[in-house]
Amino acid sequence: MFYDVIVIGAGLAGLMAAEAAQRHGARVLVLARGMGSLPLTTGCIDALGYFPPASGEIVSSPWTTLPQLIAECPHHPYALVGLSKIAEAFSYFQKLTQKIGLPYYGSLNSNFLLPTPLGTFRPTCLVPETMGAGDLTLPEPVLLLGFAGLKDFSPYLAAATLNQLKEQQKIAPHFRAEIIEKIDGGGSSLPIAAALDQESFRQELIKSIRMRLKPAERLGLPAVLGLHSSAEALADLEAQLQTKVFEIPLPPPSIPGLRLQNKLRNHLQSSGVRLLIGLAALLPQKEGDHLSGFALGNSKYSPAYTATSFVLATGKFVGGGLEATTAKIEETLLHLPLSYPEQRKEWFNRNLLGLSGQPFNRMGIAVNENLQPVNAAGKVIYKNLFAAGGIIGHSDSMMEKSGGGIALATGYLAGELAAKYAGF
Amino acid sequence: MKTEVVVIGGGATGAGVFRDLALRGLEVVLLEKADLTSGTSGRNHGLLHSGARYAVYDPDSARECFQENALIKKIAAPCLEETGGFFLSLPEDPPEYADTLLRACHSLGIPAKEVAVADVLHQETKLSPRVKRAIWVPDASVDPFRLIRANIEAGENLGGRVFLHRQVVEIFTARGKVTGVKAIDPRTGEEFKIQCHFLINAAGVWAGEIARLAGINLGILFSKGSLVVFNQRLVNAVINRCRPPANGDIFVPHGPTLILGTTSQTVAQVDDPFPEIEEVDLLLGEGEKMIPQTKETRVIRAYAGIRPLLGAREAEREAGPETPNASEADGRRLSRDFLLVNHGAQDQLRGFFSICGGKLTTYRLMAEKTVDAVMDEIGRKESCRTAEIPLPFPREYSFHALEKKLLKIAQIPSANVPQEIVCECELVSKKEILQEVGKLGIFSLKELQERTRAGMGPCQGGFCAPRLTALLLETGKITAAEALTILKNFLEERWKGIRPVLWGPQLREEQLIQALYTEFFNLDRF
Repeated sequence: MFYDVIVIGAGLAGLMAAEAAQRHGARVLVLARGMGSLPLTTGCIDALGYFPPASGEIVSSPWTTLPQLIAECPHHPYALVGLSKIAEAFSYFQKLTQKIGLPYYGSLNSNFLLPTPLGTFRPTCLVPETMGAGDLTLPEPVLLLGFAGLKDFSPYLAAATLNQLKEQQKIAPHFRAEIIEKIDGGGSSLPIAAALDQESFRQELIKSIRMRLKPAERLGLPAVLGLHSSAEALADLEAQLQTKVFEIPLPPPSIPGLRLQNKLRNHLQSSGVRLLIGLAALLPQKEGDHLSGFALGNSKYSPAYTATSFVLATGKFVGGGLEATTAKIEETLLHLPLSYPEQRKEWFNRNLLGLSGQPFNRMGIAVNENLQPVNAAGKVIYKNLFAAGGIIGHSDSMMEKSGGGIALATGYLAGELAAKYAGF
Repeated sequence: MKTEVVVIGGGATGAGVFRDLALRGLEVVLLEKADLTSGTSGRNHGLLHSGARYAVYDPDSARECFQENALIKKIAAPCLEETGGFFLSLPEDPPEYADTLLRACHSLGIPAKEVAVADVLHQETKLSPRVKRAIWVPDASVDPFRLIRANIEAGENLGGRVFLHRQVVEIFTARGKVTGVKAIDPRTGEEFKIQCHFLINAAGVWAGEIARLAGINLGILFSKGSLVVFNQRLVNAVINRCRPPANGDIFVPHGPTLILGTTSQTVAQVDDPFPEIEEVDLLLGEGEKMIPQTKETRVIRAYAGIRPLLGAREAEREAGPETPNASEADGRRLSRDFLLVNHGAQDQLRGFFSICGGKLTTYRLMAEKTVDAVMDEIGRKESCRTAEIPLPFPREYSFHALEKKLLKIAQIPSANVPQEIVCECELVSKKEILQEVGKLGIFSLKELQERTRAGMGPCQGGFCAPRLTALLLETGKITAAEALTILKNFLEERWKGIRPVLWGPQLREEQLIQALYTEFFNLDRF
């Protein structure tokens, strides 16, 4: 079966690449070995929270700091994509998410400061509409409400830490915590989120929240505001409680990440993109300096898919794009060259959470300004292959808080370039 | 504060002495400078020795191990698993060693017996088919954390008192006799003075430091041993290599995991030893010879302990500064036997005893001999009863409980799940955690982990550490100001054991855990 563009990987970078290619008219196929990594993310788009990556100071405006990053780190994925393309990608993402019913607020000009389940806070750039009201620079006091049995969210811990940090940091509001009993959640956010899709359940919940909420208080909830109908759930709660409501993303599986994944996939499918997710095997077929396609197994009955151009968006270790043994690290799909320290002890720093980060989080393939994988001499390896997201090295997105932004910007550009290569 | 006896050290030896003293009716206070089992007692392979391992080179230790093995199986059954063990000869091992081992075991009364290799391979299917001979021995695996806490609890039930975070910094004497100690809380510097008639130094790796406070040199050699933990058992019996002790020659099934040990390397004294990547690779290379699947199996962490060995100065003289045979210089040849020093007789300081060396398996015997010496000095006659009275364990506790827990959870109708599981890897419920939180003397996640096994599984607490932190805060045990520090300390300690074993699926999971703490929690900036 022939496509114009095959994207490998179904995380944010892969889905964005598929979107960028299809909107230019390309016929696109997405192949993924895993299930896509969006549910492993907060669902927010972090553009740049700290720079240099070891800095302790939060970047207040990614847009004004990006030129410095581009000047200082010429191999950084953001530098390869360039300022104007980054801006284009972000604004396209906001238009797209508006269109598919999951609007993202914010802009590259400033970072939000959002609370976490631990009661720390994090800088992030674009946030779903269910999160913006959590910003810590807003003055209104906050009631953090947890659900009995939802083990990854203790409103008491979050509120106590935030109030404690308030003394040293610029946190405006005061936090208060309460727990709602008798919600059968089985300890996980998924069933509660599914229940909140139902209007009848929401009404019951609103009743018990109303008894607890004090005048002028904002309401902070764990991120369970519906699996599919977060917009309705949010509107319902805000209208009936007469206050701002926000969610705090919980450890994976993260509902906001899952929502973005579902909406993007649905949109792609309705735009004619085909998605084959959770494949057991993906075997590349090559012809010299071109990729020609992928087979889904090595028997002669295994289906094979060919395309004119390809986007590699397989992620790092979590996504399965990279894999390590005791002695070496490999790019798993095409065995693209990687440069990394020979000694395993240099892959890891002695401190887990030190500001210098972890070398293994920076590992990835080298690409040129067209996002084409290159060898050590800078020579393009496959003329019709473009890379996007975490598989590209030369950045420490965990320390910079830039993973979502890099995925968005490189995915958008790689999809465009792949479509262009295929004649669109 | 006043007491008859002060015991220094919250490891196996100190806990054993503490219980024994309390059972014989003495008033006793135990001081531990950090947490219980924070030294070597919490960093070994959790093996209840049959004695066979020492039968050839160290028959005294071997005999003691064998006798204690049988006694501990009686008094501490819930924290043991009677796995049995095998000594396996590979083609490259000295062929005569198996016969030497059998003879040595028989002369000591250890019921070792040769078994057909085919039967062993049938029972333990993951073993290498290259095995030439196999000898069965009565090894068992033991949960040292629980065993030691059971001793502490038994002593406390009889009126003994335990103080954690009390580091002894001064020994008071008068007219050639101990009169008391001064301790500080290393976290705050706060001072405590305790008057006593007897002082028992069971400080393990730190015993030399304690003795030096009284101007006495014990001459202890330190040997570091590193071990790795696999996420599954692979074998159900202890597997020993049938050759003179060397690197990577023992696998111990431990609860749902498997432990491979050990290395042995003479080191300067280290308070907080951790394995290096090279040691891990060495262990895996050796382990692979007995269980070929070793390198493909997921390693969830590595750790290291320091063995305090005796006779250091003599050994150095004999071995010389350079020796071609690694096993001579690495401390393996030194006795694993213990030494009880009555400083009244040897150093003219009455009332002061040091008990050092030994094995986890012989902790009870070491305690018995020590307390016997104290009783002699006082002139009292109560005899030791620690070998007869069973140790106390929580009703729900059992060492290898995962299967039972799964069955229990499977029986709960899913409509009303009353049991909130906090640690999914080890199926530890909120109820179990809260029970133990009530008993904590100090509030660290590691202490909770060792008491409940929460966070001992494949993710090593990566996902449940924030939940445990929240439970400590919600129960009022820690303040908001402490919460993040307690969590970060746990994560950094955890990382030391994980860093050497990151490859394959473990690295994959660890990157996800990193993303959790950096991207979801931004904890790197707090």
